[in-house]
Formats: sequence, structure tokens, C-alpha cells
Amino acid sequence: MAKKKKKAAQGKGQPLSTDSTEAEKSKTVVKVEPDSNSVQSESRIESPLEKEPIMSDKKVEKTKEEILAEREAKKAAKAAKKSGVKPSDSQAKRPATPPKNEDKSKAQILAQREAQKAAKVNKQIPAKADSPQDSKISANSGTLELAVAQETKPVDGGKTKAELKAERRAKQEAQRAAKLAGAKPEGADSSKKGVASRGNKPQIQSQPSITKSKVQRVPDDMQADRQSVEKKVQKKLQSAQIPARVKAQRKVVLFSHLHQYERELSMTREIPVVGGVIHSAILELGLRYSEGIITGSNARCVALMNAMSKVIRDYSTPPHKDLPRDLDSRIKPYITFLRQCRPLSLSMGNAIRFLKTKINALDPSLPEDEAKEQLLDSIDNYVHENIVLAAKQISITAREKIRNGDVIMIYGCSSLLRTVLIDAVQESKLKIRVIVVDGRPKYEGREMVRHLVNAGINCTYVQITSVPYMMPEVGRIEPCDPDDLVDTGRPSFTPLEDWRDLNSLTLLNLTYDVTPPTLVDAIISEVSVIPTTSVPVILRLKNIDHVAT
Amino acid sequence: MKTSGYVPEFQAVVLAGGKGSRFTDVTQNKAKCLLPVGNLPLLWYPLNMLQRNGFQEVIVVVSEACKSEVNGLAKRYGLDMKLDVVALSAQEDPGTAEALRLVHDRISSPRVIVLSGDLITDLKLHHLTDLHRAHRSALTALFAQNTLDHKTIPVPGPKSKPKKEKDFVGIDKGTNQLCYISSEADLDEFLSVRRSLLMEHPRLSVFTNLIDAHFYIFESWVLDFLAKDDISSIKGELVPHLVKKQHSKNPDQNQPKPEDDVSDLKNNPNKSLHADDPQDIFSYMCTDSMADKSQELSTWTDHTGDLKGAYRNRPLRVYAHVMDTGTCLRANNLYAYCELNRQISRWMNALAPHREPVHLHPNSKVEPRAQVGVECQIGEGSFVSNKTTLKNSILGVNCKVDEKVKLLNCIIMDNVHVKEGCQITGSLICDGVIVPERCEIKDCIVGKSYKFVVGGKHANETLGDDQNRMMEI
Repeated sequence: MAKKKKKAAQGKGQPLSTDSTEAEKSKTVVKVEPDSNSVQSESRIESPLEKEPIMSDKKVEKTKEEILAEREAKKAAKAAKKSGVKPSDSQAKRPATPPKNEDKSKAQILAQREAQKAAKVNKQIPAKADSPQDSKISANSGTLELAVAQETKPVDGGKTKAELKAERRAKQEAQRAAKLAGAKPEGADSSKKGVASRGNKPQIQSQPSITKSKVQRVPDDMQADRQSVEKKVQKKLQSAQIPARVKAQRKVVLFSHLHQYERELSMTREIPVVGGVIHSAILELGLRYSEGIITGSNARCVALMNAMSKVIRDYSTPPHKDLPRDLDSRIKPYITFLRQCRPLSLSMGNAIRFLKTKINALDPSLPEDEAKEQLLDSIDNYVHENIVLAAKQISITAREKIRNGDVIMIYGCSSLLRTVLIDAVQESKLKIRVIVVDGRPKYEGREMVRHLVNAGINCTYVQITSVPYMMPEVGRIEPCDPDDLVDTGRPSFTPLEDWRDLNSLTLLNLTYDVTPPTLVDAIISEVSVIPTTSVPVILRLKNIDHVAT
Repeated sequence: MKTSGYVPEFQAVVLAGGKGSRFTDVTQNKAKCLLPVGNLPLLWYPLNMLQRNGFQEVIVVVSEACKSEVNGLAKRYGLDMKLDVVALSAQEDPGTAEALRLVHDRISSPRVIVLSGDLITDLKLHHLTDLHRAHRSALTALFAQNTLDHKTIPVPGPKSKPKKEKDFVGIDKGTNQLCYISSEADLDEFLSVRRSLLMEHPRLSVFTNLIDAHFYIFESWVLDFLAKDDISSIKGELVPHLVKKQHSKNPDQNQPKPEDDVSDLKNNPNKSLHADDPQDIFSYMCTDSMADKSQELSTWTDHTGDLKGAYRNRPLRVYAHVMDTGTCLRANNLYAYCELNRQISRWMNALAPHREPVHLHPNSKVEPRAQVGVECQIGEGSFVSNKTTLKNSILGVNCKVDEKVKLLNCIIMDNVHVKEGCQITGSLICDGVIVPERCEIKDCIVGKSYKFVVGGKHANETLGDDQNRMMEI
């Protein structure tokens, strides 16, 4: 978000053309003095710790191979030198041995890297834990790009797959480095600098280990493109008698570790209409998730709890079985099914964990009806406390940050934000103006606008392409199926229609994008206003809370 | 196989008590649901479809006369399901709604699938159930593209103008909602659509080429409403009533919204709104307030252009699914019935993939020098002599075809004896007919006890025992 503000500050003098075809509200440009560029609180609903920027572990393996290959190359180079052949002759060798050539240039890379490293240390880069690796990355990427440039000369036989992968990875790293570098100015810990500069050299050699420990990755057992993970998933589905979803045909390689499915084919094809394992309420829920009818963290959680209460109400213990354990084993395949329909949201995960603790904490000697009553009560309480009351509390806290006359910019739609804003107007009687930024393909912002307008708030509706244009007016900011990208709303104009036919084109439609925690200044929760680093603490406290009660 | 131990979500009711009033020549002596199609009774097909989708118990409503035969149907034809057969009393001519009322107390599940006993389809049920579940609709109906062109189908019997039985079906393609339905017979010159309907559904597609498959998924409270009402036809009255009520002002909409009280999960979430007016369908409706609440929190909507929430805050919704691939036919008139028989061997693959296609029943005897075409089907215990030619024909059970007989495009039911030298083309011969020697029959319907003249020639006639009973209703 800080980045955005900087861009806006620069772009003040250059109004970009707004994509105002969708803007439905009045365009009276109110000259409201934007707040001083001090970054105020931003309310977030979900913890930013969902996913961290990732590097696939294949990259790590590759680097190891590269390192080994480099060493071989160095040895060869030394041997060559001894026999009088100049290293530059390796260029001539290129057609014959493409991989070796790559290693050759890697040796050059290392040399250049060390030189750049020395230069950077002198520049007094804040040496956070990440930074040695960062500067390494940028140096790496810079020089790898050189290597890439060299290799773009036509080589007969084409490049190996490994080389192509390396190229792609280089580009990704460059982008990532740029992004992290942009976020750098926030926290500089210069005291660590000295230590780091000493640690630089050994760190270069042991690059793979650094990469492993410093960069967050999706754990190995969750990556969708690994054989072992796929097998595990299949096994789990089979044991629960849940049909597997059809995997997406063409995935973007960068995201191949995420589970992606073809949207067209419904999961319920394989499930018998009657007599299936899954309770009807859960089937409905799964359908509504996968169709997008229930979206939004709170909505999904409430719907989940509703379905679970139906399940519990319909449940009857079979003879000779223990209610807690049997119910728990019943619920397991349901969760697997829901996960297949749509990955669980954080709120759902918390709710399920809560429910499981409650079930396991049931007194086995309790008669069935009482046990069910108890469970239903605790579900009610959970929903009431964590959704309804929490929303009220957050709304009260957040309202204190909103001042009369504010212009607030929001992206997309979220039920919590909606409550906050509407309460601000209706309860605290504040006069605010809201700019709703919307984006394809779901256009969720329209829902937000509808709710706000119904509550009597002045709204402006813009597309995300016009954010720089609107930015000067804004005081506060809150920043949401590849085939969805195809439909542009104009029936005759669908350039992406046959995207699958083009071999080199893959569409990626990301539903969620995550702001790195370093860019978030504060999270307003029902407990208090906390910095992002305190989120795990809160969760831990809550868990203890639940276990105790 | 109730592994889950829960009350099943769906129950199926097959309405097979129809008299086949549109082709009485054929249905006079044999109940419509037992008419053979490809040597299987017509009722077998909907039951088979239900079985393929997991149903093991089905309620079947039939007329008194064929109750016993239907009881043994499942076992006889290899369907592993339990049939709960309910008989309609023979006297009155009940409508479909009356049949439903009859089984109302056997319904215990929250949703009911009601289908007609003459529906032959390879529908994948999940299309309809997905729609129904996802949108919590009150009624989901199935429609199909009409692939039969009455003008081109040759049909035995006297040439008559095909009856006009079009339906005007208005579907909002964006939401799949069924907004308008009316049969041609009910309209005069104009089809009028209320402006308020168009305001809510600005893009309405009205079709006239769709078959109403008479396949409905109801919520059980609709049946509760039906029990108290005196509607007689599901398709003719109940469905249009529901469609109309979608857009009517729900009296509860003006009530103040209940407090954000989500602690209602404990109590029965499905409670009726109010029970004052038994005639008003809204008083029977079960609402799920938690589901409404989560819908309200959700950022999804099914339409754009106004300030109302998802589903325009309408609690009662009717959805329709149009089947565009696959087979879907109702055998309720002569055209459909004949066409079905002709095409059935081609469709069996899709309709019943696990069933062995039986062209020549193992218990039938076909002499080696009989020419029997590949599409022909010979029933159990039938005998085809030498020097015969059978093309594109279906021979029923226990039939006997003597020598020098030519059968072309025929549908021959059970216990028929075709004597020597006959030539039968494009005809339908009912049970128990004995066709004497050297007859030439072309495009006729031959009823049961017609007294033939030896060597008689007939074309485009209905030959029944009582010539006056040829009327098509």
C-alpha cells in the first residue's frame, strides 16, 4: 500500500484516463484534502499469514545441481587453462554441450557476484535477515540475465528444459527482488549489518541452505504438483468415497504447486443422488462454495456452522458406537469434500478446529440428546461471539479511526468493512464518502456499492485501472476460474475465447492475492488494534480459550 | 444401503397411472406404463434412470388394473430396487395432482422427485439437483429440446393432423429461473407478459420448441400445500401457480427484519413463516434463516441492475434446466411411442450402459434362413420361421412368425401370430392379434380382437374390434 501512495504522489500531475464505463455513481469531484501521507491504520479481516511468497523447492534442487555442475566446470576450466585452451573457447563449445556452457557462465556469475557483494556492503544496505539473500538474488538475477542474454543465441537442438526453467526463475527472482526492495525502506536494522557482511561470503557458497531457511515455502506435503502429494490426496478421497475433481488442464508453471481444478465439470457427477456418504447439507454447502454463491470469509463460516448444526441435528449414534468418535469420523469426509469444492478459508479452518475440540471434549457418558444440545449450543455461541459480536466490536474500534469528511477507498467487497462503514454512518453519524474500486472478473465491488447506497452513503465506483487517477482524493485505503477472464461482457469481443488452443497461452485467474505483512500497518480485531506480528499470539490465546471452556 | 443413517434427502415418485388418452387405440387393452418399448415395459425406463442415480426405493402410482404386474416388474426385468406401488382407484379420472396427494403421507424426505412414468431419458440427475440445491429452489423442472418433427415421422393409423401441444416456456438465461410457462391451449391470440416481470428479468428467453419432460424436483412443503389445495394437474396448474407466485409480493417482506439473532441454530431452522392462510403457499414455506443470513453476508448476487440482494430477496424460486444433449422423450402420444421403438436400440447404450443389449433373446428361436436385420429385436419365446424378412422391427414375447412373411418397420407386441405370406409395413400390432394368411397391412394400428379377412389389404387404418373407438382425445 505504501507503494501505491508513492506512485500516486508522483502521478498527481498526470491524470490518466479513467475507465469510467462502469461508473454508475455521480462524478462530483469533491475537493477533499487528503490526509497527510502518514500511513493510517488499515483494517484487515484475514490474517496475512495465509501464504507467503513462495519458491518451489525444485529451484533449490536445481541450484544444487547447478552448484555441482559449476564445480565440475571450474575443474574443467582449470584443466583447460593448464592445457592452454582459453576459457573463451567455451563459447565455441556451446553447440556441443549446452548445459556445460551454462555452468561456465555460472562461474563468471559467481565472480561477478562477489564483486557486487563487496560493492553492496559498502553501500550500507540494511542488513536484515533477508538482505544477504536479497542482494544475492538481485546480483544473481542481474548476472543470470547476462547469462540468459548470452544463451539466447540460437543453439542447435534447442535449449534443454533445465535452461528454460532457469531463465524463467531468473525473471521471477528479479521481479521478487524488485518487490522486496520496494518494501525495504520500512524497517532498517543497521545494527545487524556488520554481522551480515562477515557472513556474506560463507553464505554465498552455501546458497541452497540459506534459501531453505530464510525463504518461506509452501510445505512440501502441500504442493499439488508432487507425486506423493497427489497420491495422498487420491487415497484420502477414495477412503472417504468422495470423487476427485478433474484437475485443470493447463496450469501456469509458477502456480503448479497449488490445487487447480476444471470448473465446468461438477463434482456431483459421481456422487449418487441418494444413499451417498455425504450429508445433504454438506453437499449443498459444497455446491454453493464452488459456484461462488457463498463467498466472503464470514459468510462461509456462518454457512459452514449452519450446515454442521443440521448434520448434528440429523445425527443418531449407531449402536455400540461412541458419539464423539463416531461423529468425528463422520465429519472427516465432509471436510475433505468441502476442501475439494473450494480450499478452506481461514475462518472455516478455525471453526472446524473449534468444533472438533468441542466434540472431543464431550462427556461420553452423556445421553445422545443432551450431547447434541450441548454441541448445538456451543455452535450458536461460537457464531454469535466470533462473528456477530466480533463484528460489532471491530466496528466500534474502527469507527474511532474514521473522521468526519473522510474519503475512503475500498477494493472489492467484504462484509466486515461493509458493517464498519454502515455503522459509521448510521450509528456515529459520520459523513463519509466511499470510493469503491472494482476488478474483473467477479465485480464484487458492485455488491459493496449496493449495500452502501442502500444505507445512504455517497459512493463512487471505479475500476482498478483508474486507481492512480482517484488516488489524490483518497484519505484512507483498504485494499480480491481462468475462464472467468474470457468473458468481457461484450458477446462479440472475446479474444481469449479459445485460449486453450494456443499452446503458448495459459490463463491464470487468481482469486486471492496476499499483501505481505510488512506492508500492513495494523490489524483491527475484536481484541484490540495489533501489529501484524502479534497475530499468532492472538490465535494462540484464542485456542487456549477454547480448550479451557 | 443407508450408510449415512440419515433420512434420505430425496424420494422419488413415478406417476404411471396415465391412461394414454392420446393414443387410445394402443392403450385400450394395455396400460400405458406397460406398453413395450424395445421389449421392455415403458415403466422400466424411468425406473432404470432412477436406479442409475442411486435410488433403491421408488414410489410408483399406477392404475388398479396393472398393479400386480408392476409389482413384479423390477425383479422381472433386472432392476434392483424396491417398488412401493400405490393404486389409483379405477373409477374417477384423477389428475396428476390427485395421484401425488395419494402418496403424500409416504413422503418423509425434505425433497421429492416427481416424474412421469412415460419419460425416457438419460439425464444426469446432478444437473437438476445441483441447481435445486445451490439455489434452494422450491421447484426445479426439466425441459428438453424437441427432436421429433411430427411432419416427418411416419405413424401408423389414419393420417391425422398432429395435435398442437406446444408449451411457451420463458426462462431467464442468466439465472436459469423459470419465469413463465403456459401451454398453447390456454392462450388465445396473444401471450401477455406482465411488465413487472420484465422489469425483474429484462432478458427473458421464450421457447416454443421445448418438451416439458414432466420431471420435477419439489420441496416437500409444496406437497403439503398441494395436499390442502384442490388443484388437479401438476403441469397444468401447480407449476404455473408456483411460477406466478415467484414474483408476487410476499406478505412477510414488509415485516421488520428480525434482529441479527444468529443464536437460532439450536431451534428448528426450518420453521414456517405463518400458518394463517392455508390457501397461500407462503404459509407453507420453510425458511432457513441462517442460510439467508449467510447469503446476506456473502458477496454474490445472481443479477445486476437494481439495489436488491441476491435472488431479489424472493424466497420462492422456480428453476428450470434445459437438456441440450442426450435423449429425453415422453411416450405420451403415438408419434413419440413409435419413434421410441424405432430408435431404442440406438439409445440403449446411453440409457442403460451396463445392460447387455439384447437383440435376439436367448429363448427365442430364429430359423437359420430367416433374414433378421441387426436393429430388430426379438422377444423371449418367439419363433421366426424360414424365408422371412424382418427389417427394423420389434417382435414381442411369445410371437410366431410363419414362413414367407415380410415385416418392415413394424412394432409387434406380445402373443401375436403372423401367418404365412403376410406383408406388414410400418404398422403397430397389439397384443394377441392373429394375422391370417396373405394379408397386406400398411401403416395400420391393429387392435386386439380385430377380425381379419384372409388376404385382406389395409392401409392407414386403425383396425380395432370396435371401429367407433378410434377417437384421439
